[in-house]
Amino acid sequence: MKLYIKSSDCVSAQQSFENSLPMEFISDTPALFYTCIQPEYKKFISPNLLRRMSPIIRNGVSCSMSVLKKAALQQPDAIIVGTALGCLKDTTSFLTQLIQDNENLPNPTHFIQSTHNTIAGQIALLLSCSAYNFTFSQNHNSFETALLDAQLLMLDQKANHVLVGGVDEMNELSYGLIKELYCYKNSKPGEGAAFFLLSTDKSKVEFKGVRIINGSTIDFNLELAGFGITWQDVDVLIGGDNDVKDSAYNDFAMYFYNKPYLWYKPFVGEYGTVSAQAFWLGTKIIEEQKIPACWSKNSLMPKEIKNVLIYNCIGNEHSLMLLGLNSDCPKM
Amino acid sequence: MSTLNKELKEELKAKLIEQLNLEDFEVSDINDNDLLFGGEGLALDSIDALEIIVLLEKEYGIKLDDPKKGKEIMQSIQTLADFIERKR
Amino acid sequence: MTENIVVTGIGVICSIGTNAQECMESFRAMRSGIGPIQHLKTVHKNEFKLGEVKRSNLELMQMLGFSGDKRTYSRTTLLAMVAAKEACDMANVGKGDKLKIGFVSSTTVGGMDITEQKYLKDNKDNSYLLSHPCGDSSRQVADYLGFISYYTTINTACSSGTNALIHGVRLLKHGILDKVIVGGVDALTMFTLNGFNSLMILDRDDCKPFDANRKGLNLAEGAGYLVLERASEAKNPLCEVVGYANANDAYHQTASSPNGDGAYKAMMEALEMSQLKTTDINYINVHGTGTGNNDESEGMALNRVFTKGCVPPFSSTKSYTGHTLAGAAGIESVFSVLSIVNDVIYPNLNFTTPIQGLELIPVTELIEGSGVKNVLSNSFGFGGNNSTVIFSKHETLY
Repeated sequence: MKLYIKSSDCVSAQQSFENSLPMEFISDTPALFYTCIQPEYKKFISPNLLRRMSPIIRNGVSCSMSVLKKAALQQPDAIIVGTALGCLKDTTSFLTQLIQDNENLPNPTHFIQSTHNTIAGQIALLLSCSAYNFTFSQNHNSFETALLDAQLLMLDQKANHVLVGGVDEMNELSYGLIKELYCYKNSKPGEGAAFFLLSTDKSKVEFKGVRIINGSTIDFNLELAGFGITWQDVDVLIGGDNDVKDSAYNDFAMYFYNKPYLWYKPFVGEYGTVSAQAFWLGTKIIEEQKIPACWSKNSLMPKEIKNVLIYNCIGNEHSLMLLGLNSDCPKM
Repeated sequence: MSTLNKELKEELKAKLIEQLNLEDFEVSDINDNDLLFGGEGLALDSIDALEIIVLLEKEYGIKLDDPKKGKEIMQSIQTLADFIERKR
Repeated sequence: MTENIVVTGIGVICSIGTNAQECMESFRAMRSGIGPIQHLKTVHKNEFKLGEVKRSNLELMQMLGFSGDKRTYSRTTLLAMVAAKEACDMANVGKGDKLKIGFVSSTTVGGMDITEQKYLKDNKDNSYLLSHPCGDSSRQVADYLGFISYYTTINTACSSGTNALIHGVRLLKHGILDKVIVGGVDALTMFTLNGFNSLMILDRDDCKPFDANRKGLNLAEGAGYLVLERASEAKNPLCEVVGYANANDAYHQTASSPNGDGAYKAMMEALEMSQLKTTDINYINVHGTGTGNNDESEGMALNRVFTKGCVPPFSSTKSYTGHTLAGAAGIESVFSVLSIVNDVIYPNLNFTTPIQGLELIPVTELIEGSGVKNVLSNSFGFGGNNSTVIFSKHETLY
């Protein structure tokens, strides 16, 4: 069974939402962390629900609604969300109140909205969708394990259209809580939401698999064999480099020496589910069959864009995701 | 009592707007007898009811142990203000 | 895809015992673990009763053989390690295994027990923050076990543990893993105690699940894990996982729908997958938190699935353990397995008066030797998340 990306969208620090791939970046580099360009939330969410939603929920829900709208689908067969730190703003708000007021009458709304699965729950609530509803939270593999679960659910023929995404948030209050996390030591934190409708319906972009590897090293030969491809088959790489000196990606770059190499974290920031942004970037370059120069790290451009390999690595948590061009796609 | 009650009602409206993030509302949009809960009026829900209970205790020192008893008290700004005045 | 999945190991730690054996003893003695606060740091110390694990962090570390280990582990992580280790030992999963072994855990608080003590306190050393994310507790347990090649964490609030089981089963069925340890954990925190208090759903006395005069839940802590394997490769199966489902109530962020729509759907889909008839179910381990809303809604769903007056023997073991949040579904899955293995049905403590209109009376005395073959366990959470799992006596054990 083959699975496809029927529609996608991405909320980020760049002009990505409801848009094609940005041809240039907003050049202002933030002092502490990247924040998203906010969608027009009221287009997607009723004011009565919107009022208590923190940015992570607003961005996740708006992004999901846009993805479903693009696919002209009212309800997915499953909703699967990955989030590394969940509803951080409500968590830190509640925690701060508790500590400062010595456990005296904290506001219940912050607690209610602080649960990691609030995003997936609110999407279901908005759609009146009683389907399968999961939330994964595994540091930098949160989106990847959500994606894997979606794939297996579809292979089990339990679902034909799965809404899957990765979302995290950052704000002043939360920054104090996360700045010490090792993954932010040499990078600028960010936030964002990227959602996809994974479907058995044919489209231009095929989702060819995800591989999650926990360990100090990674054997690229073995992992590519797992995808059923070799070095030659890869046309474009998307790496998780935070800057030009990021040594975590040396082995990857060396293994695929002289291939077109894209990067994205220097423009949207680092965060737990940022690889979902790369997944969106990969989807868009296959759909559009072109790469705006600003995304390229090594200025090499492919002859054609068939297979796009995405690699992310933080500490001992690695992931590879593969997207491919479906050449016999019906005209969109 | 009536001027006090009027001030209290305006204060309550402002506090509800702030505490419940009623972004689209201004004090002048809320009438004293508008229903707070249910499909009409402000259309608040059970989470808001909990927030109002916290507000009553924090701002006016009135403790409400049983959320079910809140239903009558929280019908409208008027009933809420009357309740606070009785308790003060 | 038709491969059957069996349970080959179980491990549990909660307020009624630090292992499966101790928990069974507490059940037989009808001894609840809910009591005054001993370990949790909170200003509400004398106001609430909790289901605490009766061990300090230091004692837990000693149980794990950690003497001299300078690293800081959250209580969540320590509890998970104890239960996961017990499950792995029973199933003989261990180092040297050339197989692909996974750990699918769940937690809602992660390292919050440490974060809430140190946050905003102007610490020079902020390394405690490393243990804050939910996923980090699973990573630490995986490191501790030492033979885990895949790990992930699910956080769908109080249904999490069953969802971890569902993800784990899928990984086995598709051959991605050969063995998987699934379940959940949560430690008690000031954060969750105050959170549930702000929702006004805590009973200050012992909780009374399914009683007309129930006042709310007792917050608790603990961990429960199961080792799952493909039946064809398992040596000593304890029982089989025959059905599971997750559905969403899509009604309200925290409250359950009056008719229990999500719960109904989860139970129906799990039953359909198991190919069992409703009359085949011998025991239901209900979610039964003891809140007005949950028990009413779950009761409605039970009556819809099994028809009123024909609901199989059921009880809420939360009347013993308290509500352990993300630990609940893992712990209650372990209890469900123990129910089949020991042919025992646990009583529901503190029940006197049925809820009007539901006509549901839980089991109130321990039942032994009634021939328990099929057990259904419910777990529901915030965000309208509803999950059901069904365990059956394995055919080789008949």
